[in-house]
Amino acid sequence: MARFKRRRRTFGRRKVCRFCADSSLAIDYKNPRTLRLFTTERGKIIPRRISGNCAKHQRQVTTAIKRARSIALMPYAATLSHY
Amino acid sequence: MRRYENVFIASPSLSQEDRQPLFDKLTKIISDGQGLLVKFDEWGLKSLAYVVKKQTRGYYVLTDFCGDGALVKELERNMSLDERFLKYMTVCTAEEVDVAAMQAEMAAAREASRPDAAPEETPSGGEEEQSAQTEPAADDVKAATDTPESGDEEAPANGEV
Repeated sequence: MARFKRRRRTFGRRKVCRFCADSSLAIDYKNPRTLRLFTTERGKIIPRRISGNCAKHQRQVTTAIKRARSIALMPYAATLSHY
Repeated sequence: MRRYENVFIASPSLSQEDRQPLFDKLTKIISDGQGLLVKFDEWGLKSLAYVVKKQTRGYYVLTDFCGDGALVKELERNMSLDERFLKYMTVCTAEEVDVAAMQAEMAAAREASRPDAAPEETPSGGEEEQSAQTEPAADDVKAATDTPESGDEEAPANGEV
């Protein structure tokens, strides 16, 4: 049960939005390799509080992932054996 | 006029000869509907992220065109009727497009690429730049995620699995 207590720890370092830091980075549904960084290995979208994205870019990432799912570039739900 | 991007997945069982009439049909629909085909990019056979119509692979094609809503409707109607298409998706990339300027640009790009045997192909300005930039950037992201994030990610990942 000690594990649950530890989960409420504070972060030592403030995370910065990766897309704000590097403006050359494009969010594109046609590039699932980049988008995969923002999903869990199950295929779920990683929330902003963990990925550190800003609101604007998280929105763009979300639509891009959903589009990529729609044309089977990314899974809606993946089994862990896939990876 | 608007600019659209359409990605469709053709059946993997089609041979090159079978595919060609299919693609010709699509380009004909676009030209018939007063559309302008900017790019017809075949990504080739790729494996799908999930099974679609009992297929695990598909032949991806990206088309980039200018047109109006009626053209998109017609195009999607044809795709939904045809068994050879596994899936399709149309995305609007620009609300307002100057077709004449685009045509001139495309003609200029074609002229430029022809005589000196295409050293640098940039037929459609912004689109090309974007895709070129994503490639090196993708590696940067990968490197960046490995270090700061791996520790933070663990806790919720354990929770949900």
